[in-house]
Formats: sequence, structure tokens, C-alpha cells
Amino acid sequence: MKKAHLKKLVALLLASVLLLSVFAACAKEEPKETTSATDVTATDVAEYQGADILVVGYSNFSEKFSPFFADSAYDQDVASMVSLALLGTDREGNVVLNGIEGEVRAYNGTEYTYDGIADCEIVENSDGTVDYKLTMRDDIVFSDGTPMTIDDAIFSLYVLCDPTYDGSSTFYALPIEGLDAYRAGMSAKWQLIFADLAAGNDTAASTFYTADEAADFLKAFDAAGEKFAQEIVDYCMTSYADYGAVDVATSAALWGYTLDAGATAADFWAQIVATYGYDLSDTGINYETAGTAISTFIADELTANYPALASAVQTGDSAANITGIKKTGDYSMTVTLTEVDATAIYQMGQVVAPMHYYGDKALYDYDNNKFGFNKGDLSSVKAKTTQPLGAGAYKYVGYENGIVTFEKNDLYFKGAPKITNILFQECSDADKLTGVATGSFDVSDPSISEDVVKSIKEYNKSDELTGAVITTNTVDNLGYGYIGICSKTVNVGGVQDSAESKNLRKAFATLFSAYRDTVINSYYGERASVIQYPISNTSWAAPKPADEGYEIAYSVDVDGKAIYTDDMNDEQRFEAALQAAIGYFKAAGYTWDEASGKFTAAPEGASLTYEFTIPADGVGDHPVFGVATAASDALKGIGIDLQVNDLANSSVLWDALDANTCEIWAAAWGATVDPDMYQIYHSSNVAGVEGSTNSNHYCIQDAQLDELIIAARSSLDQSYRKATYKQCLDIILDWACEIPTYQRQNCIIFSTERVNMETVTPDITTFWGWMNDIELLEMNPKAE
Amino acid sequence: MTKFIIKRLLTCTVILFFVMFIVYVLMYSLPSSYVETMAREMAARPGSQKSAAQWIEELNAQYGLDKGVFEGYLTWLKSAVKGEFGESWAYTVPVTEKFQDVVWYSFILGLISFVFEIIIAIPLGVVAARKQYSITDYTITVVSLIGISLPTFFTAIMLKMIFAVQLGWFEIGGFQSRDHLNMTPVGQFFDTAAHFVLPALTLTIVSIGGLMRYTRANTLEVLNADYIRTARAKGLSESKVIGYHAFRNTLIPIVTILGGSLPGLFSGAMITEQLFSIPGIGQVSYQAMVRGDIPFTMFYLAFISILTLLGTLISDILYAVVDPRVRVH
Repeated sequence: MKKAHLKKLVALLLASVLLLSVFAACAKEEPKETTSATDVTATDVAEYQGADILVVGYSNFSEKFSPFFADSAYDQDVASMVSLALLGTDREGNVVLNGIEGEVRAYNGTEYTYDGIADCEIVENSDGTVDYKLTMRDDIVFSDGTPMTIDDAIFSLYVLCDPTYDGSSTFYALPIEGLDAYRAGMSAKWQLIFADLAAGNDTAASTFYTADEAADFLKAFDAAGEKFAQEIVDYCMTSYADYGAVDVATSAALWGYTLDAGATAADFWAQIVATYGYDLSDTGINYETAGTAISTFIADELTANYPALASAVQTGDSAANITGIKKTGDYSMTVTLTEVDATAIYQMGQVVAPMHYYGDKALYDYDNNKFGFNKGDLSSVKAKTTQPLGAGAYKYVGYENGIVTFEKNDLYFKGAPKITNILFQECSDADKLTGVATGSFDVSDPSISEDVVKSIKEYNKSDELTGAVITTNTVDNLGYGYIGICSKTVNVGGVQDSAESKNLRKAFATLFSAYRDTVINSYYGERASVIQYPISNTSWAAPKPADEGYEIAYSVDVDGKAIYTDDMNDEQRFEAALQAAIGYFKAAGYTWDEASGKFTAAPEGASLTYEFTIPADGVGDHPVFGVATAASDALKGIGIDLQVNDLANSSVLWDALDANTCEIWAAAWGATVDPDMYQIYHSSNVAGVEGSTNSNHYCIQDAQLDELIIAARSSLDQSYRKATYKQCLDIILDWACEIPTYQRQNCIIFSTERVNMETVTPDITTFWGWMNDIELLEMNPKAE
Repeated sequence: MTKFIIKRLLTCTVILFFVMFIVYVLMYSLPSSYVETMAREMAARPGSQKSAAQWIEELNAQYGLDKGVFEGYLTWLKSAVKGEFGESWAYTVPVTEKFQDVVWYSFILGLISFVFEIIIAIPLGVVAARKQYSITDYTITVVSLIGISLPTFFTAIMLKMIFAVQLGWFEIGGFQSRDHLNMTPVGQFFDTAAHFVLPALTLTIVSIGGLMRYTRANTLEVLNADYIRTARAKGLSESKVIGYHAFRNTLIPIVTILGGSLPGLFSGAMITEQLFSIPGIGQVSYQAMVRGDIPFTMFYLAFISILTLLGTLISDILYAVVDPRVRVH
């Protein structure tokens, strides 16, 4: 009996030990959590009032907090809390050029003064180059007390320009004088061989490759070329069999080449090379392409059979410095661009990172081309990716328990912030609003949906988004939604820019446009508006309703007469749009059967069936899904089959866009401060073009548009640029390749109870977030 | 016994090899990968001079994805055996470092709910079995079945709704409250502990049902055994019969089950951690998967596979320990 008791006792003891260990384990974690905290509070524990902490509900961080490598928007916010950029922007996104003295700019009827740490003077030289003369304040210190000088700024620019830099900044893409020479010196072997071939040099006597490798390349070149030629032959034999394309020779004849009967693809290729020489450009060999670029064939061939030729070699000729970045004093430098680039000013205000922290002061010697790190070795910078340091309003303390902790930087140049600690706390999106309402957070950015709007009103016990509990700020999202139509796949007779082709696309565009208002309103409610030009409302270049020549997109018929009248209801508008669409289809050459009221035949190169690809998760969840289905129903009535393909996996769409196989699709563009259109609408960015970024999914190739885009980006005069972009927008709309759909809004919510709303920066915009003037932000006294 | 364990370990290794291969192939063929997303992002940046396809090619080479599936797997395996799992793409720190940072949150959470699961489920199971088909039995069974049937996310959201939003007793998620910084260490401990209550409760609610049903079934079986009838016939008190003779025999299968679930304490609770914003291994690996972070996901899945195999191994060994009959075979 006693023994049994003992056993029970032991069992009990064991159980309690187990339980205790649970708590011990918890407790053991504690010191780790609080080490940073005690550091923070060591000096001023007594001052803490509880209300002296601002908690911001955030989505998850990736812990890339360095200003050089921060990638996600949330990580970038952490970086920007801690660091200071040379130049800032105003509420409209324009760069403040006289930050030292402060610049007064009006927004929404109020005059605001914008202070910064530097001035920038832009000088257009007579030789076409442009100097950005940057002068910074001489009294700025980093949060660790080290003074900031121009050397830190130069170090930062060299990090961004390093050949191995792989962060998200594209500073290196600016036409900075001598930048290419600095980054150059590394090329793929085959490119060197090819360059020698093209230049007619002896490929047996190179220092960078062997004669065998040159021979290998020729083999790869011919193998790729044979496939290139074969593609042409295959294309002719499938599409032009009626015109006598039955073998290589007959196909080549259609392509304008004379070959002997029985010739092979290799012979055909030899002829092509004989015609153009070693020139892969679109005016060279690639002029003959039947779809796939010759460079693609070569790349494939090299990857498959001669990978060694694709590797990079150091060619030696690499400049030791960037001639366009010149130190002109202890607190000034000049960045020289070889040409006018309107987008450059936004890139001049880079973050000034402390060289003594991210790099090595010992490795800095400006006169001897040493810039704080060894060229090509960013390891010291990368080592600090999770621990940012700078001259921003707050100091980074740590990231633990899913919380980024900041402490105020008393050395901040605008004065010490009012709130001692700021916490960025990770939470799920669904918790953001609840968190602010229940007191876990003070500020957050929930993605705004009808439900969120409803809940905010409930919390406020009123019909307002701003009330006793929650204060809501909505700002336009930097970007917009659109429906795209590829001019390569949707045209008449294979001609992308003929009037017929444009009419065909306008038929669709007119119909899509008609349904936008109803559909967008039911999906987004008041959180989005329909836009009439393919540009984000946030841009200064976006045409405003009051502007001259402002029009509702696709609201005229084929004769240029207005489709809609003011007294039409929705049904009448849809019908009017359908009639206008019929007019456009007819003008495109479609055969109309009056008896059945349907189109019975499509013109050459066009079709009665088109596909609308929409990444709506396979369940129709997309802002313009309703547009697609409504248009499809309406078109069915007139004999046109618009198949709606709802993708569960959106990557299918991107692949199709890259391959130019998509016909009609829905997507959205993210925008930047500058309205530069080069990347999306310039003909050099059409997929498949040599050196293209594949972003011109519409395959718009318009010489006038190209010219205007280049003209606009090479001017620094904003009113000229705005007028030019309006012309560009009109041309794009005329191509009917992009139907502007919606401008979405984002929101930021504050706890009205805890945050002193008077101290929040007024007039928050897309470019002027709530974190501006954060040093002035105050909490309300804690309610007792 | 040694032979038995060695044999089992060898089988485990082979299974692991193929499991990881399958996982690798799956990761490899994901329709949208981290590399692709990154390439698209990079190509869409203003001033980007390469197309997405070029970025993908470059990144694939950079991340070693340009090799074939099998070769890639072998490369991965070679370094994995040495304990090198590479650097996480999404978190840009070594995978094992990130793992060590976060796994303890999950472990503590798992352990707490594990202890409560045992404390609550086993006695309930025994009680339900003793009073088979009584109101008590039905009530316990129904309640535990509700626990099993309700999805974790539902239970978690309901608890949050009631205790965090309506009553305001706890915070809706996270690990520390706003005033954590200026609390005393004891205060901080209780602050963190308070944040553990709802997630631990969620996990306990969803897990007790299974163990309770298992205990009940086993107890019933034992209660019908001859030696129980003998014990009763001897005139032993009911508590003695249940607590001494029946319960100890019931424990045999239960111990094997519990032993087998021990490694699972490290695997994290993906949904619960996600909903309560606890940065444990479950949430971190979920984020890694969503972002297509292959190194981290591979490591996590390898880890889970090893834990699972370890779990069954422990079960088998424990079975052999508590039940001498097994050892003979």
C-alpha cells in the first residue's frame, strides 16, 4: 500500500516537472526577447507612459531591411523609417529640389513647406549631357553619431552601380557617364566570338576563347540557324500550301530566296547568312523570322550543347570608376548623364547609407578609385541586410516575435520624434481592422473590401469611414486595371495597324467599355473608379475631366459620332454600345447577315472566335470578370464567339503574354512616379524583339508613338511632357489595344482614440504616406 | 531489440530517400515559383533591361535550378546529408538559422496543448467508457466529436471573436502586447503567456476528440476482458478495478500513440499559428511555401518526414517496451 502511494507521488512529481518544464521553456525564451527591450528602456524607463508606443499592424516581413536590398513594400517601409534619402518628394510625387532651405508647394489649396537634406541643381549642358549638382547639409549625423558626408552618398551610389548588385533599385539603368564602362568587362564567350565574326576579325587568335570554341560556336550557330530556317519552311507549308509551298525550295521562294530544288534547311540558312552577314538584329537575320527570334534559337542551342560558351569571361577592359559621379566637395557631388532623361531626377534622391557601417572606411579613397568596398564584392553590405542603420527619424532595434521595434533617433535632423517607440507588428490581413478597433494596433493598412468598409462603419457607429473609433484615409493605388488586346493576334489580314484591324479591336473595346461602370461598381463599390485613359490617376500626366479634349474611352461609333446620350439608362447604353460594335465589325470587313442579325464570316486573318483570358482564380473573382461575361453574352447574339477562359493559375497568362499568344486578357499595371511609357508601349519592348523586356504585350509598333515617347522622356519640361503624353494616350487608345478599366484605392486606418489625429501629416496621398512627418506624431494621453 | 531497431532505421532511410525525391519533384514542378515571381517583378521594374524569360534563365542558374530534376535532387541531397540546407530565398538567412529562431515557439505551443490534451482526454475517455451509453458518455462523445469535426480555422476564429473581440480578455494575435517593453520580466512572462492561451486552447479543442475516442474504445475493450471479470469476481472495489487493473492495460496502446506524436511537437501548427500571428515554424514554412522558397520548404518537409518516421519508430519501440509479446516477434 505504501509502495503504491510512493508510486503515485512519483507520478505526480513527474507530471509537475513536465508542466514546470513547459513554463520553464517559456521563461527561457524570455531573456532573449527582452535583451533588446532592456537596452531600449535602460535610459528612460520612468518616462514610459504606455501611451508612448505606437503599434502598427503590418503584413509579414522578409527581413530584408537594408535600403539597398529591401524588396517588399513592407520591408521598404522599415528601411525608410531608419534611413534618409538625399531628396524627397512632395504630395504629388514631384522631387523637392531645394530641401536645405525648404520649398513651399501648394497642394489642394494648402501651402506646405518641404524640408530635406540636400539641394539639387539640374544643368543641361550644350553638349547634350546633363549635370545633377547635389549639395547636402553639413550638419547631418547618422543615428550612431557619425557625421554624414558626401563620401557616404558616393559609397551608396557605387553599391547600386556595382556589377554584382542584384537588389531592386534600377539606378544602374540610368545613362550615367562612364557607368557602362564601369559595369562592363564581363561578357559571355559566345558574344565575344560573335562580335569578332561580325567585325570580320580572326577568330583563331583571341585571348578570350580558343579556336575550338569558335568552331563550336559556328556549329551551334548553324544548328540554330537550321531550326530558324526550318521554322520558316514549316510556317509556309502550313499556311501557304495553296501558294505552292511544298518543300524547302518552294517555301524559300515565297520568302524571297531562290534555292535549287531539293535544297535543305541548311542551304536556306546559308543563303540567309549570305544575305545579312553576322547581324542578328531585326533589320538583320531576324528580319526573316517566322515567329521565334534567331537569338532564342542560338541561346537554346548553346544551353543544350555548348554551355561553356554561355559562361562569362572577364575581358579586362573595365573602368576603375564611374566618370559621371564626381565628388566636388566634402558635401557636394555631381552626377552627369550622357543625355536628358526625365525619369532620372526620381533616382537622384537615393538613400545615403553610412559607409562606416555597410562598407569599410579603410577601403575608401576617392582619388584612388576606392569607394568603401572592393568592386564586385558586396558581402559587407549584404551582411547588414537584416540590421539597417541610417539617419532616419527612428533607429532599428530588432525584429523578434514578429515585431520590428524602433526607437526614436534623438539626432534626427528635423528634431527628436515625439513617440519613443514604434512597433511594426506582423498580423494577418483579416486582423488589421479588428486589431485597430480592439486596441492591439494604432495604425494599419487593411486591404479594403466592401466588408471592411461595412465593419469600419459599424465600429464608428455611424455611416462615416472616419469616426470615434477609426479614422480612414483612402488614397489612389499606384497603378490601374486594364483589358488588353494583342494586336498581333487580333487583327485583319495580319496587318496590326490597318484601319480594319483597329476597327476590329475597337468593336471589342467599345463593348467592354460600356459594361465597365456597372461591373466595377458592383465589385469595388466606392473603393474604385472607372478610368478613361490607360494611366494611373495618381500620375500628374493623367488627363483630368476638366482638361481640353478629355473623352470617355470608346464612346464614339465608327463614324466618330457619340454613342451615348445623357438620358440613356444602363440597358439602352449596352444596346447602343452593341450597335456601335456591329458598326466597327462591319468596318473591319466582317460579313453581316441582315436576315439573322448575325455575322457569318470573318475577313482574312480575323476570326469569329476570340478568347478572353482572365485570371479570376477559376471562380470568377476578378474586378472585370463581369465585363467579360456580359460582353461574351452580347456578342453571342451577333454571331461572335468570345470565349471566357477563367484561369486558376495566373502564371499561364504571363507565359501566354510572353509568347504573344494571348488574344484578349485582363490585368493590372503597377505604376511609378514618372509616367514614362517607354517600357510598355515602345516598339522595342515587344516580346520577341532583340533586347526587349517583353512588357509591350499589345505589340504596339507605331513609329509616331515611339517618337513621342522618346521626345517626352528626353525633356525636363513637365507641361510639354504632359501634352506629349496626352498625344501618346490618344494613339494608344486608337490602337484599341488597351481598354482602361479601374483605378483602385488603398486605405490606411488610425485609431481615433489613441492616435492624436491632429499630429498626423495632413493630406496623405499615394506619394506622401502617413510616415512623413512621423517625428511630429503624438499619441493621445492614455485614458485612465 | 537492437536488430529490430537497426532494421527499422534502414527502412526509414530508404523511405526518406524516396519521400524527399517526390517532394523535390513536386517543388520543382510548381506552376509558379519564387524564381518566376521574382523574374516577373524584376522585368516589370522601370529601366529593367531584360525580359522575364531572361531573368528566369539567369535566376535559375543562380539558384541551381537549371540542372535536371534528378541531378538537382542529388545535389540537394548531398549537401542536406552534410546538414547544409542552403540559404532561404525568402528570408535570406541560412535555412537552419531561421528554423532555430522559430521552432521553439511552435514547440512550446505544441507542448502546452499536448499536456492539456492528455490531462483532459484520457480521464474523459475512461469516464465515458465506464458509463457506456449513459448521458455522460453521450455528452462527452458529442462534445469531442464537435471538437474533431470543426475545422481549426473555425474554432480559432470563434475563440478570437468571443474572447478577443467581444470580451476583450485577450489580444487577437501576436506574441506581446504594446506595453511589453516596459514590463518587468515577470510581467513580460505573463504577457506572453496570455498570448498563448487562445492558440493553445484551439489546439487542445481540436485534438482532444481523437485521443478521447481512442481511450474510450481501448478502455471498453479492456473492461470486457476476462481478467476484469475476475477482478470484479474477487470483490475488488470498482475504483480499484478501473484505476489499477483496467487503466494500466488501457495505457499500453495510448502510450504508443502519445510516444509517436512526440516528434510532432516540433512540426508546428500551420493554421493556428497563421491565425494567431505566431511566428512559429508552421507560419514561417507556410510563408516560405507561398513564396516558393524551395530551400526552406525542402528543409521543412524533410524535417516533417523525418519526424513522422521517427514518430512511428518511437511508437514501435514503445510498443515493444510496454508489451513484451511484441519483442518476441
